[in-house]
Amino acid sequence: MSSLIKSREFLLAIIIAVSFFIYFPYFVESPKPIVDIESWLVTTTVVIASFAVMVSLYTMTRREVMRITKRVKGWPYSLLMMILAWFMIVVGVSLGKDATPFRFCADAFVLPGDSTIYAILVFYLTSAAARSFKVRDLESLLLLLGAFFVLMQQAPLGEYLFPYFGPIGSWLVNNLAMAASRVFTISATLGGIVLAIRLLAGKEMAMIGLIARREKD
Amino acid sequence: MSSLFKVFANIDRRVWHLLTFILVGYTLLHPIGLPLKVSPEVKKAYEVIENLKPGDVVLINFDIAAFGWDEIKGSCLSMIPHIFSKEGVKVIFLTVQDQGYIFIERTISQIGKPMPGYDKFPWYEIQGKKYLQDYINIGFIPGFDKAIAALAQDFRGVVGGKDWYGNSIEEWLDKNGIKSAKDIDLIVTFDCAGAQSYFVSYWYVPFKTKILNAMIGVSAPGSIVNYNAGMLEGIVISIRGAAEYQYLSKYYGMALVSMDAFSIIQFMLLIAILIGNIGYYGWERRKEKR
Repeated sequence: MSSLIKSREFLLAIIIAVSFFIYFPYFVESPKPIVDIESWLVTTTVVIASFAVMVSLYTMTRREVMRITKRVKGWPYSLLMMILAWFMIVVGVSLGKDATPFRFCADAFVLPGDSTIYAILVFYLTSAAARSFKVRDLESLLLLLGAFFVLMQQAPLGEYLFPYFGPIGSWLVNNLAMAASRVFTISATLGGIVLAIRLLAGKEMAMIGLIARREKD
Repeated sequence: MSSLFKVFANIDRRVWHLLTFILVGYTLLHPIGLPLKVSPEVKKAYEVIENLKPGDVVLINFDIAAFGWDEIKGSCLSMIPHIFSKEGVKVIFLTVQDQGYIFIERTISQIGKPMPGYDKFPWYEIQGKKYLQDYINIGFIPGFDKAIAALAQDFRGVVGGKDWYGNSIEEWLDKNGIKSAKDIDLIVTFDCAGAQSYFVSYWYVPFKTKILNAMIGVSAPGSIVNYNAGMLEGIVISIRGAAEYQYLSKYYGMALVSMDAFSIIQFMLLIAILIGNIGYYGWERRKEKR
């Protein structure tokens, strides 16, 4: 049985079947049984995602314990992370998500820490603007001009002092930036469709590790 | 003159950090009240909420983590009270971020008050709308994009029969005729990680569900593309958008106050770029040539 589950053909059959039931009803009007299977598969991913959190916890613990036992550089940080992570898990699971110690740790450490790291960006942004944003060639000049007009459009003071810059900034955002962004979106979508066709044709081996195995063969 | 260029080229980054701290701190404490122009995309978002009818069901998604809370809370604290001010509208809170439920509760505690006889969550009333009568909170659903897709496929199945606090919501959902994703009239998603794109793929494309999106600045490019393509009804971008919404809806708050600091910092960025370039051409480049 285990050899069947591990076999290349079995894994391939699962990928082809799942790809069919997910992609086909999305693009084509399909009979109800196929749509029901699609719904079941999509709903199942939520359960799998929950289990994935537990798997990540296991792999994180394993990796950090190895770092601590081998005294790898920076191991005290690993120790601190493990203590905090497991404290939150034990308190959260045993006392519940609304328990005072759990909420205290979240409110006093996790949330301010997370916000602080993001807020620090503004300091780096200003110093980086002075040190890195230099006009060395035509491309960097165009980049600088783009940034100038968009900044002028975004800041109320810019709009107030220089009202003619606002429309230029809007035009850059709604035309040039959007055209570039659409290129990425359309490319990613086409890539997704190509991936779907490759999965359905059984040609996408990398995701189940078959390419690596084939190289070993 | 060359010594001035040398100074410009070698300004210590800590000087910039200190200047930023002083300017932001001062303008937050002493706002000037610069004029603010309301953008068409925020006006559209306002009008969509303004036109909600009795019986409409609004799904509010908190794709919010702590790092983005300070940037997006202005939108939450003005758009959500505006939704709750509309008569007969039913609201479902949801989050696809593990920290999101904390911010749902923070928002509710700021815009609402405990119901008579209660002192803790979820028993809060907002603008006269009571929990389990006019709104529910289904809390965190793991999986992010998978959760959004699964909700569209089988709304009742994924939500289950209980809310985030373990109360039965079957009756509430039945009473308000919410059987599937098709029964949701409007989605308002507050994004730190771009959840709007998945709502567009899994809700707008099959059901043409109306979607409003408020997001932090880094998520704006993706939202602008979808807004210009007509897939989002309105967008509220970062603190600037929140300030415009607060001005329109008259739920004034910190977003409006922080607009002056926002302006000052953006001008400081331009000055920093200018000084950096003067230093580069007056000193660094010459040094490189020598």
